[in-house]
Amino acid sequence: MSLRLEDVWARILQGVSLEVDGGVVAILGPNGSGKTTLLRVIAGLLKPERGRVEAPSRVGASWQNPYFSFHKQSVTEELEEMVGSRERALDVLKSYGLGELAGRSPFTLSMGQARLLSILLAALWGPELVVVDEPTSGLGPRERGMVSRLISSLTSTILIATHDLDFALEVSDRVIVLDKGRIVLDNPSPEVFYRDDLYKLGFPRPLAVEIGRAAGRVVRSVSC
Amino acid sequence: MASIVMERVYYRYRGQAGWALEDVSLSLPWGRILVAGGTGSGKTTLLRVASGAAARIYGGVVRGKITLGGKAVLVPQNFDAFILMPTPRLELIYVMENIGFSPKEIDERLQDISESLGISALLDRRVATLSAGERQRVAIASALAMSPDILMLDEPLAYVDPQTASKVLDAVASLGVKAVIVAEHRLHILRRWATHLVYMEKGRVKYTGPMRKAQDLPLSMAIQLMDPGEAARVAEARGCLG
Repeated sequence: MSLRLEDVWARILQGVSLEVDGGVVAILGPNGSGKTTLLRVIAGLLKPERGRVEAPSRVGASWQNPYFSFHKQSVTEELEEMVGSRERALDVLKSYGLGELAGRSPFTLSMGQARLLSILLAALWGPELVVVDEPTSGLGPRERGMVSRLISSLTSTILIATHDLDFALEVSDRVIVLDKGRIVLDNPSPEVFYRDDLYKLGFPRPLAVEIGRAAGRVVRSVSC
Repeated sequence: MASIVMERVYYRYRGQAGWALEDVSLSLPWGRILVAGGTGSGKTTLLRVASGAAARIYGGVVRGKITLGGKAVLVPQNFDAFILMPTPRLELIYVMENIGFSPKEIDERLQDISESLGISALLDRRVATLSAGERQRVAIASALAMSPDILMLDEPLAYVDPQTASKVLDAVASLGVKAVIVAEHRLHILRRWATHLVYMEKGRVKYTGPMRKAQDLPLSMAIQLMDPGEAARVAEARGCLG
């Protein structure tokens, strides 16, 4: 898998260059910084006005509104289409604690349940790259844990657009910060969350960072 | 006088067997109130029932007594359903015309509200072209245009980034809202903002009272309210740092 963007201009994006060869990459930035636009360009839904995009042919996507991912009568049918058989679909649901939702219409799911299903649908058909837009919005702590386990269990490269720094710190191998359509920071390690320059844009420090600073070591997650 | 009083309130959604809210009694002050709890704990249902939206929109059975100290407006999690008009300007004008504000008042309030929520530059954009974070702020603006005394926000931080959210929450107070009630499970983001906490589990209220006296919370929640040094000691002792 290799993803390469060279001097990409599209809507708010102003000359974004980027290379990703694998791992879980968090794209951080405030509202309107271009996170979603960048994912749309990478997923091939938006043609840049200028610049070059080399993306893998199989890209899975889970967008901000998870209900846009659904078009079948039941949760099982949605998954069946992606994983090949009804049995596997039911296994997947069970292993993520969603077994009781099998017969439900996906459009009646809660926000959290819909989010999980939408990420499963984006990731489980064997794409080389999965883009996920705001995976934690509308999720409770239990479902956040499930999403972070799900993301850590995937072998494809994953790009996550989020302003949830707690979540980014927990799951990502690399952090890219966008501001006003430009990349202002690109760092391959969780230590970046312990540096002050990440917080110049006004993000509050994640709980894990506040606790980690008090404990005197790098803490990435707090799960008590 | 409290902003909201609920006495032995029960609520069941239409077609559902169990109570979504069970034996809820609470008295919320005027001020900044955080409703916390996991998914399915009943946070959203509490806001729906307290604002009157539950019976109106979802039907079902409400039991018990609910007293509101003023006009309450709820901005739901699916805030897109809250915006009716094609542009933010038309949305705010429509809402204020319906309430009966004069054209002069509408002009002034439109400016005040959109400036405080940082949407002045978006007023004539089509709502469909706005980002989720921007649409969420338009929905909150639309609720403010109704001049509520009590504003309820269900997961307002879902799409709005935290720094914008804190500006929005500050702005709301300056626009004459006397009680802001926010449902959110990430306590640590709002621990300095909120003065009162309601913690819910399985449709029941486990704690209601001042934020700084919060007790009977599960450790995952309590740790978010401690100062970092104490939180680090407790978390190290329990081995729950990753």
